[in-house]
Amino acid sequence: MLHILRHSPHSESRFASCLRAINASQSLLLIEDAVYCLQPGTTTRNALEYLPSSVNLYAMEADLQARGLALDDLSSRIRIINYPMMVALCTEHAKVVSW
Amino acid sequence: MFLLVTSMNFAIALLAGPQDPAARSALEFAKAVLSSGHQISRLFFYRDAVHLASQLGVQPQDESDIAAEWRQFIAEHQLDAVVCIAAALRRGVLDAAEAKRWSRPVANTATPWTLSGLGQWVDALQSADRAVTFGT
Repeated sequence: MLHILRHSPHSESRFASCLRAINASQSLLLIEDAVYCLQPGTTTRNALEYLPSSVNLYAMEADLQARGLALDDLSSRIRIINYPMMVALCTEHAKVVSW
Repeated sequence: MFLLVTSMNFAIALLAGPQDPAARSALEFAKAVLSSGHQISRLFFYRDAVHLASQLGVQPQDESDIAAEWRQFIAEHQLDAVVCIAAALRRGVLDAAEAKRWSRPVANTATPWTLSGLGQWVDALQSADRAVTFGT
C-alpha cells in the first residue's frame, strides 16, 4: 500500500495519524506541504527516520524545490521522485491512500 | 526474458480548488499517467475543485491559469471529466441545462466538463485498476 501525505505536519494531525497507520511493508510518499516533514533537525524528520527500514520513503522533487528544501540535505533513505515515478509507484502498489 | 508492463486504468479525483497546490499536482500526475502509457478512465472533481470547470475566472496575465490548463488537457485527450453536480450547483457552477432548470441568468460551464453525480465516481472505482485522490 502506498500512503500519499500532502499536509504540513505543523498545521495538521494527519502526519501523526499516517505514521501510526503505516505498516512495515508499506510506502510513504510526501507531496505538497508534507515535504516540510523533511526539514533538518525537526521532530517530524526524526519520526520518519524511526520508521522501520522496510518502509520506503519518497518525496516529490517539484514540491521540495517549490518550498526551498535542499535536495542534498535529505536523509539517504528518502528517494526523490518526479510525476512519472509517482505513476509507477501507484502501479507497483495494489492500493493508494491519500491522507 | 522481458518484462511485460501492463497498461492500467486510472480514476483520478480532485477535491481542492484552483488556488490549492493539489490542483497542479493532480494535473501533473494525470499528464504523467498518459505519458507513461496508461489510461485515465475518469476524472472526478468535487468540493472546491468544481470551480475549475467555471469559464468565468480571470487570472492576472503573469500568473498561470490552472483552470484553462485543465480544460485544454481534458479536451486534447478527450477525457471523461465529471464535475459533481451537487457541489457545482452549491458553488454557482452551472451548465446551460442547469441554468435553465434553476432559472439562473447565465451558465458558466460546458464541454469538456460534464455535470453529474457522485455515483459516477463510485462507478469509476468499480472498473479502475487504481484510484488516486488529490486535494484531501
